[in-house]
Amino acid sequence: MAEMLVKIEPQASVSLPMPLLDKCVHCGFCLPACPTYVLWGDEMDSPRGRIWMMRKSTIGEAAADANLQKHIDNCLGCMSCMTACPSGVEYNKLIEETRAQIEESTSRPLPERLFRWMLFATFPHPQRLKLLGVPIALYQRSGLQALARRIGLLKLLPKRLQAMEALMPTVPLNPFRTLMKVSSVKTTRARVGMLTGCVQDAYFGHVNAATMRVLAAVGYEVVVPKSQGCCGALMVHSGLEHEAKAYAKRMIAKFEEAGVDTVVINAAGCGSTMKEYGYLLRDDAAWAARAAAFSARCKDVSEVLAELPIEAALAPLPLRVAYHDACHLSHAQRIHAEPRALLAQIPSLDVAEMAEASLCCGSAGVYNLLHPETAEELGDRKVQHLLDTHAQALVSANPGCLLQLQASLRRNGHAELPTFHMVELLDASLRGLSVESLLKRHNQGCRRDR
Amino acid sequence: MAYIVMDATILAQLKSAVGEHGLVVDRNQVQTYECDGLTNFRTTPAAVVLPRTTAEVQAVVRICAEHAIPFVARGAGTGLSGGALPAEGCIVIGLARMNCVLSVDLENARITVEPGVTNTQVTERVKAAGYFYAPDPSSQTVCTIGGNIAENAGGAHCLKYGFTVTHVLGCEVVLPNGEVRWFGSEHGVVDPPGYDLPGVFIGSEGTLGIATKAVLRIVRRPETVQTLLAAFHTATDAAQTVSDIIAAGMLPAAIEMMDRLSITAAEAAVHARYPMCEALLLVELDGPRAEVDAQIREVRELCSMNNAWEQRLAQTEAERSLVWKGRKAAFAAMGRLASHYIVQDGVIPRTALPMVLAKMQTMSEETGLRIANVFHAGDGNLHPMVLYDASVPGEEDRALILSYDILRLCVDVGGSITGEHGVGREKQCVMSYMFHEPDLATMLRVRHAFDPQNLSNPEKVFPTPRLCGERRHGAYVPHPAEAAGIAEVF
Amino acid sequence: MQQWIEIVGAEGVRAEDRVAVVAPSNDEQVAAVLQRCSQGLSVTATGGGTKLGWGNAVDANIRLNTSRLSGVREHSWQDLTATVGAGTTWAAMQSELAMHGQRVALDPLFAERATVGGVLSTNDCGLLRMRYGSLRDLVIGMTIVLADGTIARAGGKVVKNVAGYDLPKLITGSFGTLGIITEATFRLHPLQKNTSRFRVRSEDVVPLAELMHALVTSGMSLEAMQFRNEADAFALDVEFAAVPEALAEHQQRLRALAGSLPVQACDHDMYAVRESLFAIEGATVLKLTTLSTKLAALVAGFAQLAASGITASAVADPAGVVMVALIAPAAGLATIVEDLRARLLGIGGSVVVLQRGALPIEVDPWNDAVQLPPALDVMRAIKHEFDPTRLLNPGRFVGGL
Repeated sequence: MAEMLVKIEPQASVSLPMPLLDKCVHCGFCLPACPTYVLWGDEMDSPRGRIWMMRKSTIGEAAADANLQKHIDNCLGCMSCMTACPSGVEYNKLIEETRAQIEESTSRPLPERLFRWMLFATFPHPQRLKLLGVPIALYQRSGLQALARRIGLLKLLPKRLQAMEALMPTVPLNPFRTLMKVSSVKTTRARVGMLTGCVQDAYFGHVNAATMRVLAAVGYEVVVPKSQGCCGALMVHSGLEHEAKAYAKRMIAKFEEAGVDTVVINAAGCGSTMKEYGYLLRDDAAWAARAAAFSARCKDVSEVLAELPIEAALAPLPLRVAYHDACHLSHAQRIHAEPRALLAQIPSLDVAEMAEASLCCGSAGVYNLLHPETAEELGDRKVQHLLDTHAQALVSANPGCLLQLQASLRRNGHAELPTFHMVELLDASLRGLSVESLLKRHNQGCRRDR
Repeated sequence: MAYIVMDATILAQLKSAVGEHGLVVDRNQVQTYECDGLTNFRTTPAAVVLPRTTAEVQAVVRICAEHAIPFVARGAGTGLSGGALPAEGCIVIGLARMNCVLSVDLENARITVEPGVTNTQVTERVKAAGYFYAPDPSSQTVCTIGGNIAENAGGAHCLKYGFTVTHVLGCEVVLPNGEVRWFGSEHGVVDPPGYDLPGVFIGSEGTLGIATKAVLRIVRRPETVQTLLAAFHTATDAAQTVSDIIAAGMLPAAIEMMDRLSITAAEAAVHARYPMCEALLLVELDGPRAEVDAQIREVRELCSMNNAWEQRLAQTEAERSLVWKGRKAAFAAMGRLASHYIVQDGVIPRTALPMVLAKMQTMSEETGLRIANVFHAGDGNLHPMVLYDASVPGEEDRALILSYDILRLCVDVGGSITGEHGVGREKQCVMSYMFHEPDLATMLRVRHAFDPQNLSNPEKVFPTPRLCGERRHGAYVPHPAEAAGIAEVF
Repeated sequence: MQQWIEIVGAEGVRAEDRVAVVAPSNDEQVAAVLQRCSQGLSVTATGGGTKLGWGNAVDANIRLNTSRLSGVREHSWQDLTATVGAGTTWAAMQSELAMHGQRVALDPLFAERATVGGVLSTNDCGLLRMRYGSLRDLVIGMTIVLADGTIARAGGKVVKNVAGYDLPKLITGSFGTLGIITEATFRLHPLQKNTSRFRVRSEDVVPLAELMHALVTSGMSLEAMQFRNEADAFALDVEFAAVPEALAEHQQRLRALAGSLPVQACDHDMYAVRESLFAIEGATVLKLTTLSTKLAALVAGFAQLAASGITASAVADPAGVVMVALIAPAAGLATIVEDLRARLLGIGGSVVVLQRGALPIEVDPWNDAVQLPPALDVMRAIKHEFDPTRLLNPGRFVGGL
């Protein structure tokens, strides 16, 4: 065998704190939890492999080259590995730090930069999203979408734009309606502030409305601070640390003004980011303490609701649903039991568990836009597990997952299967809605898709 | 830093064998394969291939055989003895992509799988029908059947159910010369005429070829399972309880013991709510309800007789799985107590347990290194974990030496240097403490029959002068083939 | 003769059928005998001589008798292990282990005469296999002497051990073609204190086959089970071993599962049935292996032979082994064997001749002409490494190994 010895000259590198890296004992328990490893079966696309690459670069044995960047980019950031990890590796910190360093030290090809710029120029801006919503709504309702999908026109688009089109939810005709302040008939509990979010606000206004009704029905006073802006999750996950910090500060200030005991969040991705503001701003003397205090007040809606028994009457909802764990709820926030416990309180509701429950659906922030093929594979896998449960509907607690799963269901010819946010079911039960009326909204949207 | 780059024509052959997406050669990428669950030894491979079919594995092995390139098969890389450590300039054959369950035959309690299927996936696949796959190494959610076959994996429940070798009825193997053969029965029929090739292949640590399919026996789930936790003030009391249980004629599904350090680590990882004590016994009985009920009463009496200060029966399936989750996470959870550690895998006659534990305590005090203990007490399989800090100069070496001393202690009391982790790279130099020269030479005859070119996972299992220096026992007798210059000593 | 007397002493050498029978009394003597044979003398190791007819006949130059390599050498009863000389008869070993309430959980044929070495070499397992595994699961260590006189110890004395290759498994069932076993270490099990045995009969094979499957999957503490044909019915012998409370419950469940089939106490020694097949005057005895789902059909097929004037007594154990004794004219026997082999070939089964009886000599005991082991080349390579000049039992085993 002809061999040659190659000298490696150190080039750009990433540098991570050794104590964080040393936590990984290389046991491999994270492998089956990692969506990319499950799909591809290669070490580089596993958390253990990524941490190994970070270590190699940190100790100067490998460069932070395009291959490193590729495998770091491939990570969905679902944090499933953290749940699986017995030795307590803080992978979230490792991956976010690596991404930040890579963004600073390396450059991406122009089309890649443009696409990312477009994403960051729209998604974190609820008003821009809403503006976009008008033409989208027209596109969907005019029959144009159905036509475009039917004649295969969309196949001419680049894969990433196709993915965007496929992921578009059925946008409400008037996305600009604003939430009213809702107060409980009889306020018996604390005053809480609600995060409206970006995608949630623009396309899932009904989920926000349901959240407010449910909170009020169980006795909370709910306030919605105006001009909250974005939580910065997309920035944090993409290594745009400066932007993320700016968003975080604005968010903290807005809720401080509102004077609430608790910040209620119904989007898992936002919740996990806001609970980490303390860490994000740890080195900012002026903000560190404020951020830590703010993070401590952030709670997912299921945590808030599960704290005390629901005293209001819950009407039966005879339906078999499958509950999908949002990664940023179950892995990043370790909220696993609460939504199940809440759903279990609804009479006649049958909640099924899916196989590979801890595996990401492929949504992962803007991952399904940046890596559409991977996301589609994961989505298809989820749909298969969902179908295996013979559930009549899918329930989750994160807008990103719901969009991804709706798109996956459409792609697999199951557009008829409805998806709900967990609070929508609680809302329907508290209001005594029938299963039929609950499904009506979905069916309206579904007809337009055909 | 230097590493070996493969000849371009060989790379081209490999690419045509496994396709562009099945070949990995970039340095940053292949480096992720430089060790398995044991990180103390590392070698960067020249290339990694990720085949999807037996034919692809065969094509790669043929290329290796033709050019005399060493190859190392790898499953999930969870092994703790460095069995999947690459050899210098080798090709790593990663089998994670061969992960299909090929057929399930419930009537005959058989399942046929590819090597990349994980241990847990086998059970998941047959669970609904009331079956399970019995070998259960602690890494079962991750480790693959291929790796289990290479290492003859055990686990907590092999006390009653036996090891991997008991449950593999046949396997398809790519031999080191690139030929494909079935060992045992392709159909899962027992006693096929001929030598027991699965018997010697299973546990050969990848040195005799690569399993690409396996027919496994699945086991009917017992009617009932009871899991008891008993806390003791001393390890001696706990060890005596284990002996008493066995002497009473019972064969529990598992008997595990954990010491204070291990309990602390496992608690931190999974909050299993173990009682904090010097020695915790975990006794699991399974079988027909009437029998298990009677036996668990007897076990509880024996625990009380030996001064157990707390006994707790897992009440629900959720509690039971939490108890096991804690136990199975214990190794990796040690990462919470120490920056580095070495897990050892000695076996001793059960009766020697109190003596060996006392001796280990002395060794720990002498070296100033902490030793945590988790073990399969029922069959005398110890997993001492030597904790150390790699940033302290010389401490890693001292930890390794201490861990080898523990293994020699096991041999001295009539035991073995490995019960389930395998010899791999880590323990090969202790092999000559356990076996005499003729014993090893006889094993090498088997090796030579399968792999005369010495390509399949070379420099593993057997001591080599290069890695181990002079041998301890007797004069070195070269194998005839070696003397004739056909094979190099490995 | 003199050369053997020099090695093992006069008391260890005798002539039998003009062949020297040499009985060494320790490993070194075995090694010396084999080294002396390296000039080209072939060797067959013998113990009790109960299974010398299994496999191809070998006309060896000397017989190495293991009778002086006997005795339980170490019984670590607290560790449930024992080390035994290869020439110890199975029964003698068991009675010594029984003094501490223990046993090797295996019931081979002819235990009174068969030796540990012979049982290991032929991999003879009985009914206990269903619960305790076969011989390969119970042997944990071994001393063997290779053809060149190398004395090798393999495995160990602890029940769990993966250090090095598992040579004891390779040697088990190798019909004395790789080396001479001089000593073996076993893992032990406690003797069962409480057992109960039943026999269920049925004229129709189907309900009894269903009962067998139901019992296997019932989760009850089954110690042993066998399915066989009687003169005008089929019978299922069942033994339970458990605590008394469980035995009572098992009996009820057995009756419930059996439904209308009569459940009686078993009034015969179910462990002696297999052995009795060999005692049938002039019988040809075959060992068949198949999938467990096919067992009952095989036994039923044998029962039907009665209509053609052929007597067949078959015993199946749920692990997938059928032993059958046939009394038939020579030509008919050859056809039956051929037919069985053809039918079992497709599902990976086998038919091995254990006792020839009237079966014509042309019928190969292993079926080498039609079906060779799929990895025979590997087996040959191993044989070549262990015994390059083919001194040990040459040609006895399948494929001429």
